Amino acid sequence: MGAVLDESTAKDIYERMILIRVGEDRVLRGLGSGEMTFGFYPIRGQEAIAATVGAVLAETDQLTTTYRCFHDVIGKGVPMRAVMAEMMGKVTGTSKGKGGPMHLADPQRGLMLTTGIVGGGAPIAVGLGLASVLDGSGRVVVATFGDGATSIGATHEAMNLAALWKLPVVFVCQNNGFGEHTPLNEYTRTAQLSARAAGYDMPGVTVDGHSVPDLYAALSEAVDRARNGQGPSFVEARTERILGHHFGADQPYRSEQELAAASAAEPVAPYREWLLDKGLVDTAWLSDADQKAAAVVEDAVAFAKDSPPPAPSEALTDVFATVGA
Amino acid sequence: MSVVSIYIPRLAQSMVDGEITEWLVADGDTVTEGQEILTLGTDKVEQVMQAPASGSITLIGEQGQTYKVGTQIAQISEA
Amino acid sequence: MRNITMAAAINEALDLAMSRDDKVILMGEDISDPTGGILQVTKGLSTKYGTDRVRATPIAEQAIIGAAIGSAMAGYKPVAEIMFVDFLPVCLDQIANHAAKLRYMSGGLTTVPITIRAMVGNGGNAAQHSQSLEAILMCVPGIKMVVPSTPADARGLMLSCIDDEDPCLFLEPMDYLFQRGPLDDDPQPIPLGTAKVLREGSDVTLLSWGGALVATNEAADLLAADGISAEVIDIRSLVPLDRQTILRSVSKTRRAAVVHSATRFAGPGAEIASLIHEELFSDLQAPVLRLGALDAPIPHSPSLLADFFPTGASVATAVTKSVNAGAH
Repeated sequence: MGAVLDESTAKDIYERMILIRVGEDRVLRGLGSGEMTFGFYPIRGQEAIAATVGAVLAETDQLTTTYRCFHDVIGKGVPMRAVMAEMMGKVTGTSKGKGGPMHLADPQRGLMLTTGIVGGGAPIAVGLGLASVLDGSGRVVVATFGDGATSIGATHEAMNLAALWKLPVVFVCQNNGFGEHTPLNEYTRTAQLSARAAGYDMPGVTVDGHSVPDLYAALSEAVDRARNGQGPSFVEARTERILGHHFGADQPYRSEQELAAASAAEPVAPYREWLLDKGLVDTAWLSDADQKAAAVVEDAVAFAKDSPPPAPSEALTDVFATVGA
Repeated sequence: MSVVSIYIPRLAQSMVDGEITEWLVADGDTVTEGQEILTLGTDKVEQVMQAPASGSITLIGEQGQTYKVGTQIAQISEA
Repeated sequence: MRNITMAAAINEALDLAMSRDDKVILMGEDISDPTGGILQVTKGLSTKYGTDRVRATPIAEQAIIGAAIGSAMAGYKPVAEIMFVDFLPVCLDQIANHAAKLRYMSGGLTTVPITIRAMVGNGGNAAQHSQSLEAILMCVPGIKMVVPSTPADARGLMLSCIDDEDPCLFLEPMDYLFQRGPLDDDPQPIPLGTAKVLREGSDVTLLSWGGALVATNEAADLLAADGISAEVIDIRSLVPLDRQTILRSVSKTRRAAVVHSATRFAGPGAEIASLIHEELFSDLQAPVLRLGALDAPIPHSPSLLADFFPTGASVATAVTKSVNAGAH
């Protein structure tokens, strides 16, 4: 039975969500005007999932994610300054500018891996889960990926092994209906991705990825199971990919109506209404939270723009533990 | 008052340059954020660019010219 | 001093490492007892250390390497087995795109101190179970690679790999796993990046590693009978490569041949030969020779295998021909 959202967690989730939304909007504006030029995979529509995962996990819990990761990374608590700087290739980025938008890392805050290889994170999440079992820390690992990743072998190997070894891994599948430029029903006959979990003897559930209460109930239950030694689970969060596969990509395979509907289904406005409805916040609180997020984002972009790039010597450091090894 | 610069954006990994196919506003015009300001031609497609801010626009790039990605082509002085 | 097989020496190294450090764990297909690994390299270890630390896995190379990578990122020192290097392509993404690159992509924040064990071949098990695929990973910066040819080297290099902060590929030549050799009771790590001069000579340097050393040593004997003095070097560490030992030797002999079990075309010998050409061009008496496997998948029939890989005779013939062609 999943937990019910308390006021403090509900607010925490909104703060993460709005920071993600404002941050991405600023990035999109920067990319659109040429102010920023890096490859970017927009997350619009998927904010609620990442914000809820971030709120449910402890800072010491671990996350592996994929290249469509801005929300997951900010949701986990990685500082906006370090994220903006990394994407802009500056030395003050999470990874000294050497990873870029697809390879953000902040192990201190549990962000262990962002990978550009579809499905590449799940096997590594299994390894992180193995370490948790061996060291008895009770750490939980979330492996998040899109629906597209459920086609690749590595994901299945990872799920099978996680179930076999009863590892504290929660597989969070953000199903936005598209594997790159191909819609789900054109790349698989499986209608409900969470149904595959039973095949690995693992509980699987599908939830509305735009409903924070539903997400919270499912994710907190899965995380508790993992933490209590009951093994892995699979949470499929249905969502919308509002923008194209990557910044600059069209979606010629989607009709105008479909795109308009996807756009209208975004989760931030409905969550605001829900919070107000339940009396958990008032409009002043929301406005204050929105302004705080805007300030954090503007500060981060200015910081990143002012930061230097990595020195040329950085090209050959961190290949091995010692240079020239 | 702050100045927001506009550059030839990188819309695809393979994109090297873009052509200012048509300016949709004139030098000195007041524009609002989101307003369509130019049509950008790339080897793949023509894309309309929007103003990233509101204010008075100064045109730097010339219509019909092709510029490398990252070249500044305009700026907006925010009121 | 004992006389034991390389397989047993590797087992000793794993046992020793596991007894000294709780963080050393093993994973791979069939590695736990009673099987103890398909060639018994891990025999007895799951009984001694338990199946938490010695885990037999499903047939799932990507998950095996992923499990090693993830647990290493969280403080463990995993030794994962990929059974045959031929199966490396099955999990190449985890090794090449993740293990090799996580330190760099994270700017040094996440590191992957894993050891991957795999057997390398010299034929005998047909096309998909006999290869030497070192070159596939030599061109991916971020993975270290060693190939021992004696039980003592195997023990010493394994100890170093396990403690190395970087991902290490430990290749076990099938031809040597059951060869016996001397092993003392003083297990010391052998630093990676060190080649070993097996015999000194003055006329030509023969550079080799792994199973091809059998042919190389035979060739040196044949050449000696013909009055050609060959210096034989066991490269034993491909990444990092011991450039100093290689160049010092060839500066002396002014003639070299690289002999390996990997395919000659685009094999590791090309890199080593180029290195020697670039550094010692004006000193060389002849171009560096490269001897490797024929440019084809490895056949089954013994008649085809006879001349598929370098042999003592084929190496000696090639070197003699080069010597007889005169100095440059």
